[in-house]
Amino acid sequence: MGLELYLDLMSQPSRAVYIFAKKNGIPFELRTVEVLKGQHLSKEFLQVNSLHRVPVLKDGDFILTESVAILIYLSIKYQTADYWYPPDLQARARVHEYLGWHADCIRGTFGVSLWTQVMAPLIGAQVPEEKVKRNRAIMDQALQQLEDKFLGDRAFLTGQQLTLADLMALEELMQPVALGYDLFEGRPRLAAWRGRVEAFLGAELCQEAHSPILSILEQAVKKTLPVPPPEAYPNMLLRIAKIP
Amino acid sequence: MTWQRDPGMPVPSWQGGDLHPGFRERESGRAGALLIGPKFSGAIQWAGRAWPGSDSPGGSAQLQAPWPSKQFLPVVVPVPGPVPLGLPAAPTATPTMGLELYLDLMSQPCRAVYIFAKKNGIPFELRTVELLKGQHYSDAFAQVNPLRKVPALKDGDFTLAESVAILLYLSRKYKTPDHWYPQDLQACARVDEYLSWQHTALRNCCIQVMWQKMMFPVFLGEPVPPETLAATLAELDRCLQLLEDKFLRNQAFLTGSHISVADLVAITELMHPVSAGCQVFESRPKLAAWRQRVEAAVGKDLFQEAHAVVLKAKDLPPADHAMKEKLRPLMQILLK
Repeated sequence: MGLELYLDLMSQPSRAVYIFAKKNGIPFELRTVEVLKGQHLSKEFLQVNSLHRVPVLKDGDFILTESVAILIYLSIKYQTADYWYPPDLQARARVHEYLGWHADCIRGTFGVSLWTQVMAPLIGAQVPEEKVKRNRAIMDQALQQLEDKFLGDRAFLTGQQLTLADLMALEELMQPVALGYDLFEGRPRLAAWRGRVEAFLGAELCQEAHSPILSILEQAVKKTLPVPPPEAYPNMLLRIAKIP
Repeated sequence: MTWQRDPGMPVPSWQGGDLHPGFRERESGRAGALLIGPKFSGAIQWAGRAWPGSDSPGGSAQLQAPWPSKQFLPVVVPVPGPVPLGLPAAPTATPTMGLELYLDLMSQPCRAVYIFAKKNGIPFELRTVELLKGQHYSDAFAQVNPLRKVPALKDGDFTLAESVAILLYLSRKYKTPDHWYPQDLQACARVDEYLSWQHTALRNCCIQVMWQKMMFPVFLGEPVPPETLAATLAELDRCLQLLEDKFLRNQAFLTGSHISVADLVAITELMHPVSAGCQVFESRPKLAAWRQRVEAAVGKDLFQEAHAVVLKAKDLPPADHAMKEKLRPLMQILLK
């Protein structure tokens, strides 16, 4: 068996891995793990990742979790173009610097809207309005920092060339966009950056990767979303409780 | 890639620019932010209370200067001996500084960077930035890291934030032994995997335990509801179990048979709840054995030295009323 990638395109880091692999022509078997259907809890998937999370990479016997680790692994193994993960000492340090800040300030925060608007209602849980407002404010603050501290006057987040940082950031930012918060509106610098990243990745690939999440609200309204199985509830409730 | 100095950037005080206090004793309120991490401090600022001294009501105390992009000082005036940041030094002729590390050993990631640099004999100037005194909010420190966080690195003209970025930069630049961050594709991936997981899992957990078990009752004199503390400790327990089951397994170290930066990052995190009085290792023999190995690999003296500050945190004098009030919105978040 060659390279396998276990992904759910509802998940931001899964999308980053998917886009990276496709854009770089890396041959892989896509193993879709639909979190909404509770497939991440299956016994089969447990063998792959005891943490029940996506994305996961399986390369022969080698299993790897964590999107950043996966992206770096793929970039090195498949010798992707330098700009993704630049070999220059300082340029590479900037990518890690962004990813460190991203882990604190973007990851987690930008995923909340999917939970408050879709996942919680699906299992009959409710998130207090206060938390929703707080999340919006935290996102706004993070976006300000993203623009001021990282993007600035540059074309991309860590310099004049696109890197893994931009891919990770874009996919996180797309999550609330898909859930109805157009965070690019009123932020021309960020909107321009998004345009550049998507142009670079290619409209078709972006469309392919983003369409599942972009249709989620519609599916929720039409009640065509799969209902999570009961065994998924405890983890989901835990996740909901963790929303600050 | 080099950063260009923006000609519109204000001239820092130590180059003869406007003198300003920069250093404020016991700048209450802000102190908490760094120790609780940016995720929580973002939530605090929403709570509508401006941090003391921040320029806009309810605004971020972290964004005081208009920084269009990360800027850096082209040269730094060398200051004689260890000087608290923010005190202006008389401008003199300017040989370029070597490596400077801006650290507060109260902070877990700072300890990891400190240990790494010392263990590998990397020559550096230690610039202590005391979080509990608000020194990270000085304008002088903002020149080094506009995000006002520690650890921060300054290597000639190059400034860098984020502990993982700093560790990897140092390991490459100073060509440290391979085991710290291996060249081998899969071995390296294991380290990357741990460094990524811990950032969104163990880290926040250790911070919460530290605050709920110790900083609230001792430093702030505020009781923590027992059920809240119990839930936090349960979460710590869960993370420790994952650490053992998913990462350590039957290996000597977290990512294999040799110590790596992953172990440094992990051990310094775990010393946070230890310093708050948690029996992290006593009931977990596998982890305790791993800890012994890490300490031995690092060197007991260096390990003690790096942890001296945090192990004395329980002896901190209690916060005054003003600081307590400033930290009140934070308490709600940390007590969830």
